Amino acid sequence: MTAARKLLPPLALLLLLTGCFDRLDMEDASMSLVAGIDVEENGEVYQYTSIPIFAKNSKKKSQSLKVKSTSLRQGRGKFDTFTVGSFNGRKIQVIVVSKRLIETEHAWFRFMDVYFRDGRNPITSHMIVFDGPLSQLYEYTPPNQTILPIALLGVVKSTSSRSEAVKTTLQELHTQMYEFGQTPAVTEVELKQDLRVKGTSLLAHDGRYVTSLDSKESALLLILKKKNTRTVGFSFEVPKELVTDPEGSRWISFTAEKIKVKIRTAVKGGRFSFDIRIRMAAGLMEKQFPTDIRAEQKRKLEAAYSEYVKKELEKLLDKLRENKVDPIGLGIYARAYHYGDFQKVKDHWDEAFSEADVNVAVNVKITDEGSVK
Amino acid sequence: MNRYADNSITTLQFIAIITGTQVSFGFIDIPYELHEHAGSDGWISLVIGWLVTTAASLIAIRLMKGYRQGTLLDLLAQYGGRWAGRAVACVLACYFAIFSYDGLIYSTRVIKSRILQETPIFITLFLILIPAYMVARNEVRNIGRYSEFALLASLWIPFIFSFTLRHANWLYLLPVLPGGWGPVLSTVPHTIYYFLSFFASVFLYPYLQKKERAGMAIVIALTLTLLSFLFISIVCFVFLSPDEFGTIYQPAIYLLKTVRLPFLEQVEGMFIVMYLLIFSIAWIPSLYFFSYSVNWTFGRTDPRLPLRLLIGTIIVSSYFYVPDYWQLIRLNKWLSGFGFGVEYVLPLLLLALLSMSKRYRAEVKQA
Repeated sequence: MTAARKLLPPLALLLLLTGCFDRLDMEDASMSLVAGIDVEENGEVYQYTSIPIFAKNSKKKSQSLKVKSTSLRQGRGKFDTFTVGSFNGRKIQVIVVSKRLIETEHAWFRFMDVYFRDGRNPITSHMIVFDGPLSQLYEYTPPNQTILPIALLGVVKSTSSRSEAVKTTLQELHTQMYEFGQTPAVTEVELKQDLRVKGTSLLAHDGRYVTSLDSKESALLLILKKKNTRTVGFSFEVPKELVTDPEGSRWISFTAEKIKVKIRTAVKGGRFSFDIRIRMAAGLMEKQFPTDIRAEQKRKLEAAYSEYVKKELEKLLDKLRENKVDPIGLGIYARAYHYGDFQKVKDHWDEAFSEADVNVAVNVKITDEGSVK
Repeated sequence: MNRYADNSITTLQFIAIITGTQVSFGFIDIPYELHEHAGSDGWISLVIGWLVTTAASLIAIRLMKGYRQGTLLDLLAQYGGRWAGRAVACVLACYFAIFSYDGLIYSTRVIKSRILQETPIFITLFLILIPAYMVARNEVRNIGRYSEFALLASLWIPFIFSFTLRHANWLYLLPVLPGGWGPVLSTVPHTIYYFLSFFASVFLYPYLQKKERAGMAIVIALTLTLLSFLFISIVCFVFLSPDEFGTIYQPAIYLLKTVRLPFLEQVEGMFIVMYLLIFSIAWIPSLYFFSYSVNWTFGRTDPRLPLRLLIGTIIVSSYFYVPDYWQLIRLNKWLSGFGFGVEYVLPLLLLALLSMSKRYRAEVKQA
């Protein structure tokens, strides 16, 4: 009797378990893995999606859909009418926006609201800007028969591991969009021959597209952002006086390691100035001319390398200031160390940044010359 | 007075009940609250709030030392008469009922918005309340053991948050005190709500095994609370840019959404489910103290009847009406005022009165 009475509550609990209203079986679900937003020439916003097909006999590995809608949530309902299972965005890996969308719709970040508001949607999806119409991307079948999300993630991951493009997740973009002292930067992908990462798209504070960086500039940007977790390589031609045969090849390649960046800020008469000091260790990777890397010659090579990196960084910083974008987040330094002065220019930090002085100093030590002389 | 001796709790259980009650929703909410009022300097307010509450609790313990045999209510009855005790017991019963209701609805709202969006709230609430009832109908010792287990089983939480530190930007903490001490000091009263558990020191004191350690235990409990709040606040402050902070509710959960483990997606869902253990320390002791106060008023000893009534009311009412987030926040604000009164002013006032009347009686006796 007592045992039966003790068993009653757990049994009652078991009865309730079937009452879980959120149950979703795998075979009833259609998981969108790549969400895309594009705008057509007539100004109409279209949504794209790619859903993997798990059926064994299916020739296609994924299903691509396109619907017209100005709200992502409304679009979900429209997708639902196409898919076999119930459509949901809880496993979205990549969010692609077309370049035309971010050029024309400058408040396009509003489309992302649903990912943050709905507590079950992920915010770790990768953000990608696609240079071209999205229909081109969604019709593309990767040659090695993988599905689109895996191909997209693959190119982004491999380039970001070699620091050739920024890698921005939805959550990082949210921070960059709201932060006054920084402007957003997103990976840019194009379809030429095959899917490839083109570089980095730089956006203004309101999300409008401003300009792009190629892979070398992206690597330098990552150094300045102190996001350079992996090694980064540089190849350049050394000055003529360092080689014995001025007519021959002067190419040399280094990898940079242990990159230390120090950024100091100052304000002079309402104008910000930034002092960027970079120290790095270099390993020699390739050298196409004979030279002895000892004593005097080593110092000269180090100086040439420092000069090269410095010139490239200055070029990048000039480009950023010319376009009035601050993807490095120098404004965050300005706020931290000169709060009062920053508050005055907070709402138009892009202007203040374009007028700021930036000094770069680079110090390179060659630590490794490889296994041949 | 054997009732207290038979149900004695260890120092660790005492600490676990106090820390658990304080940490519970504070952990999810406090970064937003601090940032709203004091920006990235909110953590300084936290330290000041801790100093204030520690001082107040130590005073209370010192006063309680004179009365080892019973809870505050017993003392009140002894010195001020049965009806004075009953009046205070009614106020306390209301307070504990609202406190546990607040905690329960808050947790179910979190579950509803993050995990079970389509499941009706009353089902979730019902599922949560069954184990809560099973623990709360027992004596203080069982509640102590439960809290101890829940606290120890949650020690992994700081480690999972360390995954978010790779996004950290420590510059967000600078500059320190851009607006002077004003905002920091005006935030201190907001932090005090999260350190509420003063009742523990006056209600749990009689049950404590080693009373000479009470002062030390309460300092340890408050310091543990401070450390967990400081930890989560600073992690959130260095993660979220000060400009985006105001746009995100429950930053602690938001942070975990960015963690991606190779074997587990949506870490925050797991976190919320496991965190229910800590959440539950907010309502289980209060449910117990509710039934204790009610029973004390009517001179009964079985805690089950008032508990069943309260739990039944909560579940049935949730079928018809559940407060939304904004109403909960307003309830929290109101509770923090009420709680301040019930947990700080009232006991201190009573204890002061009691000690005065004791001294007065002693003088009368002498004369």
